[in-house]
Amino acid sequence: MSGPSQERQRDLDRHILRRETHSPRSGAAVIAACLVAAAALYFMLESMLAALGQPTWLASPGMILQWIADLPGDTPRALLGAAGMLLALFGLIFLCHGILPGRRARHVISHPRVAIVVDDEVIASALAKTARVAAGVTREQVMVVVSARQVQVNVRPTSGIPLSESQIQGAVEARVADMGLNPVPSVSVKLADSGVIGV
Amino acid sequence: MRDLAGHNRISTQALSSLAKATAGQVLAVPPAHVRVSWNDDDGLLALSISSPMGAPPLSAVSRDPDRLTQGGGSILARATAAKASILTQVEHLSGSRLSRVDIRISGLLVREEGRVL
Repeated sequence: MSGPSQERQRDLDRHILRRETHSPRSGAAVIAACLVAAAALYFMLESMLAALGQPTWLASPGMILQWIADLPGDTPRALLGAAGMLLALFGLIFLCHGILPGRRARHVISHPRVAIVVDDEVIASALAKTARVAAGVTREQVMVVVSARQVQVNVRPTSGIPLSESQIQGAVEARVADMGLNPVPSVSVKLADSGVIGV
Repeated sequence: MRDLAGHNRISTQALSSLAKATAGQVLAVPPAHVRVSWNDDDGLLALSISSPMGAPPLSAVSRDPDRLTQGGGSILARATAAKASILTQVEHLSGSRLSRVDIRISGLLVREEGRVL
């Protein structure tokens, strides 16, 4: 493979990985664009009518502004309040869509040739198995939570058989390092205070 | 030695049978008379035993006071000593760590031949 096509391939990989690990914003963007377009069309219609000397279709901008200035006027307060809450909610949703990173529960595994995306549940399952073997406990005694930058391993020991937290931590950290995840999560192991009997 | 993957488990029933046999031996009663229950004590095992205890008849003791000291002393002294020996034996045989052994003597099994240690 020649240099430039390799470069293009890498760009494509990065693009695909970005799309797979972040939730799309296209839905919100389309809705926002439609709203803006509708408002623009309406104002264009009204200004054309005003230029031709025709009566207004719904209301002139001046009338609308006057109505807003006169609020609450004779409109029912409950209705106004509900409408305001609804508008604020929509605004909050759009704002959050715009600001938050929208990361999906997935990690990227670095590989020179292929783009690999792994669901966090899969990572958690693999790490749970590692922790289980390192601790010598059953499947039910281990719970692993994987988030973008943190792996939380909860182990409930068998009564009468003390476990070493650092040994489990070392095993899980080695496994995480083997996976080559991006972003690299930090590992924290938590042993439960009470154990289970005879498991 | 190579570390083999895998997991060993000792069931509660096995632990209970082990504790019953040990307690029966230490308290000089048949294992079937012993009732045991397990609890978790901050990650260690706590064993509760309810069992009768084998003892020589009072007539034999009054005839020969040495029978008492031969058998390990009073009921309380024997029960106290039994705690430690049950704990070490169960720990040794099961490989689990015990934090405490509670013994409740529920009765006496009077036997003419006394307690053989």
